[in-house]
This record gives sequence, structure tokens and C-alpha cells, in this order.
Amino acid sequence: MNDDRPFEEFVAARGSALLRTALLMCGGSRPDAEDAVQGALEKAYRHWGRVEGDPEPFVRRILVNLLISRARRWKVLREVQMAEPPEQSVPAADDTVVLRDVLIRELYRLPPRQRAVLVLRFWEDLSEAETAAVLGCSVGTVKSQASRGLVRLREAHSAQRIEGKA
Amino acid sequence: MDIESELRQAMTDAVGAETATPDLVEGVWRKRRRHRARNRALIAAGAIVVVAATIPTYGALTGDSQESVVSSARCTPEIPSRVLPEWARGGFSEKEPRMPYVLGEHGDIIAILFGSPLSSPPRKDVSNKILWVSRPPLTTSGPLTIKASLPGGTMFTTQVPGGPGPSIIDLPKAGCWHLTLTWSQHTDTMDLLYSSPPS
Repeated sequence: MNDDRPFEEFVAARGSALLRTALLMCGGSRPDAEDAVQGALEKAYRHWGRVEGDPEPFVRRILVNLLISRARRWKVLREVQMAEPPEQSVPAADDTVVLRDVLIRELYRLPPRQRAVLVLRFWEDLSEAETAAVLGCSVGTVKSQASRGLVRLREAHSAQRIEGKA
Repeated sequence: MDIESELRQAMTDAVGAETATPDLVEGVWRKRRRHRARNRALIAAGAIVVVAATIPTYGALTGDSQESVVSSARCTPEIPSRVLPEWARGGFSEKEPRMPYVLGEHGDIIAILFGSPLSSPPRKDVSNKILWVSRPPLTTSGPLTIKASLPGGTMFTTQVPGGPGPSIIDLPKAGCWHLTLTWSQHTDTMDLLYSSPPS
């Protein structure tokens, strides 16, 4: 009997969902997202025998906190990355696509913890209490981080609308 | 549509169609094997330290010193992640961040390697990112000048504007480069290995 089978079945069933969360958390970079998911699963595997019930919240907590930690570590080099020439803008199919693209790009620019709150609340559909449990913070912090993040997204969205009409 | 609904839709558009590669679990096992190998190496290194500590005349008998131990680690293909010196931890969120790094021979500057192993030509997926941190406080705001040389005589000079900080340092050839670093009235040297990326 293969002892790793439950773990492998979990990875097969939930790997894609974890990858999508990681992609949103790490700015859309697939290699970074895959590496983070593998890293989180490897950490989770070490404690697999002690996980009771559904392991997904446990793995998600490891993944999100690993991504926040990595994002902060890499922050010191962000200015170098931003010094690269900006990508050429391409004509968009329609305004809605452009506006959603603006929202995603602004989401990727948010501080890691703020971005995590928005991804957990509006992608994972977690409650404020569940989000607080994943991040190890208070519900009040989740509320304030979500509010600040949404304000920034709303501002970017509005600015793009005005620019689109001009 | 309100901003929350727009955001949900935008996230679905961005990543909704993404699926994990079938060999995801293989990647987990690879990481597991690396983690175990690293642990074994740490245990072995710990055992060596314990043995060395129990032989107080070891250094005197062999002529070795801590400096020669550091020297032997120069230009090794794999620089392990170690806890950064306290003065080089600014900007890191962890209390004891672990990163691959090389310390200057005088101990006045550290090269924290985000793009380890360094490659020439640079790899497509990882750039040669180095964070330079000065131990002595900076007194001027000039650049960090890097004069690099290979044993065969190849020379290369580059600068990091604004002094020690984040940089991408691409050197023209693979090899064990000797670097002379000058910044804010300080000078230090170190060796850095640039490998050829796997073809």
C-alpha cells in the first residue's frame, strides 16, 4: 500500500486551484507560482500524517504565507525590475477587457499582505474570519486591508475609465 | 458592476483557465529530496564543527584559520543559503533570513545572491540579481564600482548607481571572477563564480 497515495490524490485534485491562487498572489508569473505551490506542498507533506479533516485550508495557509514572505524578500529588488523598459501597449478588444486588465495590474502592485486579503476574499471566497485565520491576523486587519486595497483598485479603475473616454 | 464583482471577473479572466502541470507532484518529491539532502549536509557540517571544537590545537597544528575555511568555499558551484549577518538584514521581514551570500575578504561588503547560481550568459528564467550591502555606514552617495578580472586577464568594469544596493550584474564570461569593489571611500574584494547555464 502506497502511504503517499492520499497526498498524491490531493495534489492531483487541488493542484490547479492552488496554482491559480499562487498566480494571483505572485503577479502572474507561472514559474514562481509553480515553485511556490511545490514548496508549500513539500512543507505540508512533512506534517501530512497529523492533518485532520480537509487538508486544503492547511496547505493554503502555508502557500499564502510563503508567498507573502517571498514577495517581501524580493521587494528589495523591485526597483531593478521596474527599471526595465515598459511593455508596449497593445490595442485592446474592448473597454471591459482593458478595465479588467487595469484591475489585475493594480492588484499585482498592491503590498503582498493587502493583495493576499483581496485574493482570499474575492477569489477564494473566504469570509473575513477565515481570511484572518489564514493570515494569522485579526478580522479588523482583514477589513482595513481589504478596504485600502479596494480603494486603490477603484481609483485605478476610475482613472482608466476617464482616460478611455478622453 | 461594483468593484468587487469586477475584480472577481478580472481574476477569472486572468487565471481561470490555468491548470497545474501533471508532474506537479514530481516537483514536490524533487524538493523533498533536496530538503533531505540539505538536512544531511547540515548534520554532517554540525558533526565536523563538534569534532573540531573538541580538538583545540587543530588550527595550530594544521595552520588553518577561519579565513582559510572561508577561502576554500570561494567559487564553489553551489553557495548554500545561510543566515545573513545582522548588519545585512535590512529590508528582510524574517528575523533570521537565510540567503546564499558571499562576504568581502575584509568583511566590509556582502553580495546577497538572489540569482544563485550566477550565470554567464545570464539564464533566461533567472537574472543575476545581487543585493550589495555595505557594513560601514555610507558617507558619500557615489556609485559602487566593480572591477572584475579573470585569471586569464579578462577585465570588466561596471557600476551600481547610488552605491551598494540592488543590482543585476552580468559578466561577459563564465569563470571564477575576482572582484574589487569600491564605494563611499571603502574598498573590498571577493571572488564570484559565474557558471555556464545548462544548454
